[in-house]
Amino acid sequence: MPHLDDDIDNLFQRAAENYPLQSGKGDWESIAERIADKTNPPTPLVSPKNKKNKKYIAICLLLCFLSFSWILFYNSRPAIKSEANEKNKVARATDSRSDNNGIKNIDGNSSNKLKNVSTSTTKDKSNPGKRRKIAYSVNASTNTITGGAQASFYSKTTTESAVEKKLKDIVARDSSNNFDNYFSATGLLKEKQVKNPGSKIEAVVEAAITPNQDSMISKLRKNSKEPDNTAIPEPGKKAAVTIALRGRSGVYAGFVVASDFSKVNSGSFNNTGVDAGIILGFNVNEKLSFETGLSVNKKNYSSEGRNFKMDKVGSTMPSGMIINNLNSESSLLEIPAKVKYNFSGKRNSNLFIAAGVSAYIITKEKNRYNVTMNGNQEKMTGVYEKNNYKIPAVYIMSIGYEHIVSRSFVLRAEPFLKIPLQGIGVGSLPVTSAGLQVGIISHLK
Amino acid sequence: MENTITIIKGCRENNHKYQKILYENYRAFALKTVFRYIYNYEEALEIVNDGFVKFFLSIEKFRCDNEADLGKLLTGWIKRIMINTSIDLLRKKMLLPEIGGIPEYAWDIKDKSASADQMLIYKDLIMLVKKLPPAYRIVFNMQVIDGYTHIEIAETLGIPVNTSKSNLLRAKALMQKYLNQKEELKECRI
Repeated sequence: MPHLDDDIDNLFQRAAENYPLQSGKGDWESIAERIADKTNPPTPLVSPKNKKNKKYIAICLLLCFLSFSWILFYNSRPAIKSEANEKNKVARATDSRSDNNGIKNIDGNSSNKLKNVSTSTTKDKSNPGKRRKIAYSVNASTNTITGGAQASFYSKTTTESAVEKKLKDIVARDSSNNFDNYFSATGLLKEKQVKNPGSKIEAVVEAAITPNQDSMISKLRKNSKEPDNTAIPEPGKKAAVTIALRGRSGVYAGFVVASDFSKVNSGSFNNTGVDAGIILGFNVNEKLSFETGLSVNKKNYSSEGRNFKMDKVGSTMPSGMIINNLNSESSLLEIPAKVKYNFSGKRNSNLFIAAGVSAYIITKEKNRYNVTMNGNQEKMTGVYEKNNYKIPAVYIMSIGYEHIVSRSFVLRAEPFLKIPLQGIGVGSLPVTSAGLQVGIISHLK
Repeated sequence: MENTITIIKGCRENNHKYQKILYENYRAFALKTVFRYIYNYEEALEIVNDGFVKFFLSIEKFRCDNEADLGKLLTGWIKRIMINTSIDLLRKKMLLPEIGGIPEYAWDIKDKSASADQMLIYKDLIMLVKKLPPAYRIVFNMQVIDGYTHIEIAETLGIPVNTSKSNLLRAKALMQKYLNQKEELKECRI
């Protein structure tokens, strides 16, 4: 018997080829039956991509699910009572004289009136000591108040409404430009931060209400024409209120991802791609915005051979070849430019429509052709990596929903349709795309 | 006699006549490949049939640009399908060691010529390979006999490359041990 040395591999290879094994009779009939069972119906052309498509669909569904869960979570927290759209019409001229409490309005801009006050109160009955938020904001240009305040209370929810009312009184009493006077003069509220960037105001104040200051609050209320039916904080209890007043910046940016279902001409949207990128927008006014951005796109689409134009690649194809159909995987950069129109929605949400055009820069294209050559069915693959510019390539239409999830971030869901303006790729295929884009957007300061 | 190109074309067109010809031509080769991996002869026959079904269903993917290499490519492709099908079965069995012997009817030793002695040596060598534990047997077969690299083995089996290497070393050590035992037994008989 040989020992394992350098030649042993050869010996085993020869043994594997020539060892005496009885091959017996084959069982062709059973094999033929199994082949016949499995070959009907024929395998669809797009079958190799199914796994990939399922993965993209799963990712998109997961993102959608997370987005809507987030929205639902913020809308339906059990301890939240929202009075967001309560619009109290408070139209008072700013008084430049001193009042009984020694509060002096330095700002003499009496024409600056506040028309709208809106509040939202967070109550946590299960945990009375927890910090709570009351939202306020003031837009000096439109004399409207919306926004947030953050309060901390010890026990009774009535104290919260007292502070809330008091804050309403205060903000209603004064114009947006002299909050700081009230807060500093009354001694009830300690200013933490005041910003006044142009016509937009952002201020955060803190109120420390003690029993000794209740009389001052009462006096303040007596001077107000609003009915005083609020409760007073319990003696010895301390309350702190933070008010956030902020306006919206003109510029915003965000990150978006999208599912992309593409088809060519009368085909069906059965090929899934994915899209991820950044957007940059500018609010012209409350209704109108311009948006652009840059996204990386992965598109998959199938087409009949008759849609494929041979102008660019005809010279590289064998003569006499007819393309029956093809599957394409394209990687491209997309630069959209669109106009967005906001419908006036609720304070926390917004509906919008958008339209525009988009440019494509195709970075890589891989086409799998099913061809007929000399009467035989063949398969061919072509990979094209030369950049291919299409400006503009598609017309974009979309309708979307935005939801404010925090002071800084807005969540967006936007179904879209992209209609081809010109063919893309080496075959100039008119690719129509549809899908759902979700993203998170932040207003830049 | 049909040539290989015609047979392949016929198989692509799902023509049972050509499929049967290809099956008959390559069945013995496929069985020899599978039987090195699968210990049981009856199971090896079933694996060969499963492998051919896979082959005929995926023959559209078989591509050959050079007709001169068609035979080699076809043999290599069939071998790969048979090996993968065998590994699938071994995985299903959790790579547990097999028990029982190989029936005598599995071997095809008829003549008593000198080449028959060579055949017996080959048979003994293959029996030694089959005696290895399944995990070692797969790596030994793939690396030593079928010419896979350790990277390919690792990818096929889903194991780290180092595991493949250590399994091969242990397989070779075991093989050396079996050979020594065989040698000692032979000397005792003499």
